[in-house]
Amino acid sequence: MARIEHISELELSLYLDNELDREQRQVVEEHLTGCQYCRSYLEDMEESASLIEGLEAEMPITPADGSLEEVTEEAAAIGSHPAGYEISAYIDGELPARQLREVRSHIASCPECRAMHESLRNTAMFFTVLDIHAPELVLDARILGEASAYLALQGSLEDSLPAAERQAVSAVILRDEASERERAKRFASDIMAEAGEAAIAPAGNVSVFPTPIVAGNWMWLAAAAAIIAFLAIANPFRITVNFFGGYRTEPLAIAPAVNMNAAYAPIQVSGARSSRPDIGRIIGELRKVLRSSDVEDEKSSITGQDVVIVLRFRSFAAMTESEAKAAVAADVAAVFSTIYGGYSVDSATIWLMPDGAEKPNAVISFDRYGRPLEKDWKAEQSGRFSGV
Amino acid sequence: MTTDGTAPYGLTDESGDLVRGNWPEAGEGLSDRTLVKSLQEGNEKAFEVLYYRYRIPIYNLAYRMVGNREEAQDMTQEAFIKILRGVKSFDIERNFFSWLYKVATNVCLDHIRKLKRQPLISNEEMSIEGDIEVGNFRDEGALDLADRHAVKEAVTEALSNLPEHYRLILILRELQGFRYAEIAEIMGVSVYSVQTTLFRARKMFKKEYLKLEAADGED
Repeated sequence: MARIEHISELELSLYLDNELDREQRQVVEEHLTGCQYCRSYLEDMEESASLIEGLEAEMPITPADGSLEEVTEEAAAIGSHPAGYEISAYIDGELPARQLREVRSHIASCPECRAMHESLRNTAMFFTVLDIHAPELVLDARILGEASAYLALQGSLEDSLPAAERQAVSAVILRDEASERERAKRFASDIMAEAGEAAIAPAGNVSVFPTPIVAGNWMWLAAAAAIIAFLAIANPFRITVNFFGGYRTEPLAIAPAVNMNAAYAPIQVSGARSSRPDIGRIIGELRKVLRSSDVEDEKSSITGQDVVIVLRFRSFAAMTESEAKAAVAADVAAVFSTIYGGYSVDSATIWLMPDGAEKPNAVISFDRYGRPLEKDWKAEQSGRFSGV
Repeated sequence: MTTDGTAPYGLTDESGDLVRGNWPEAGEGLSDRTLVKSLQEGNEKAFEVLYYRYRIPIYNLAYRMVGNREEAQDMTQEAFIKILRGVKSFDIERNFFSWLYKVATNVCLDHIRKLKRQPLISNEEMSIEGDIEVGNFRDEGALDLADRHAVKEAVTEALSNLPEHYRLILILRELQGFRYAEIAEIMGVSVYSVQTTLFRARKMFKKEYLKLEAADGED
């Protein structure tokens, strides 16, 4: 069904004030003719306006001295009163110099306008009681992460892909943004709720290591999403997720014990208690985001508090390096947007490892906010690979 | 500043000098124009500075418009991401903050319209941690804590009961301190309209407030 575009409240207000130009006025009137909803709304606004007029009429006249008759006479002697909005603007220091002098002088000698001035000034003072709220830190992470992923993708697209492909990959990352955010929120909220009820596990930091990946002709995306360092000093506790990703065609003959994760300086977590959410649910969410139809295989393991999730994607087999690079960036962005909202990403790294290569030819690392790390990780990672 | 003494993130000020200092304070010496220009070239640090510069006022604008923390966060995110996506085609000669506020107000107004103009009443006013007190009602000591609490609730509710553009103009003027010309630019109306609308908004607000105060007195 086609969406009906109504006249905005502001436009209706301007219409009431006779502030629209002829053409705009005509558009509004034409719409009003056929739209009961806007007609009713306009009637409500007219009613409100008349109430305000009534309120103005009821405003107390508080002469400093003398009777009402004297005040009225005085006002008549002073001449016409400034409009209410002029007094309002006078309070705000928004009148031109000459008008300001006139209003000031009038207020000084007119009790009625002085009363209105006092009333309006007091109304403005009411607002000083309201506080300013600082947004939660998680909002910073969400926004900066999304911005970073967007700019990274934009940059990588501009650098590496022809226009048509750029458009196609953009479509992947930009798809259903709103629903993804919504889903991420629900997901995080579910997880937090579940984790809050979960059994209490021993305290400690959880680190994540890539597991060995079986060789094959596929290019792989190893999305090692490690979950779970929890700070439960008080409820609600904080959850940290380490997301770690890479893809390659050769086996990563690195023992899980190789201290890859140390390079990423995972958040040190301490606290009296920690807890673990439902891993299956997290895997499910990752699969949803990471083009589940493309997932060829998945493995997950839980050893102690380490959780490693490895997903293999069919589509990378047919991609060129630049295509895969852009697509992986899209995936990372999607994962970031999914796990934000209760989680923070410690780091994420994409390795580009062509067939038969011993070292990655590109390493893209992101910090916990999804910002590309400035440090040259490539050298370090290459060093680690060369030792394999 | 980075450990080797070089400027972080490659930002420069108007004169082309590199900016030094820790992030996000590093951006303090930079104009919006410089930052927007840098962002147009893809510098995400420029976005970060702009974000930190405007996150609190934009979040508070959204919070007062929608009356709910979670939704205010979503509105803030949507506004900043829209800015990011639109920045390439933004005319550098225009005023950035007016554009940002315009985008943010439109995001909030669209959201409110989607809610079918339901009245928005926040019950969170007194329960938010980390509030920063910005002023007192009339003068220090004029209200004790209980009165202050009651006034704050009544002001919040009265504001929530106003039509959205009255609410918006009061937020822009009374809470964010914008000049009329700036409000006119943000709302896309004349300064004269700002004068008259603000006056009406103040009157209606007072009416709502007095109504709530009277109802409270009856309880």
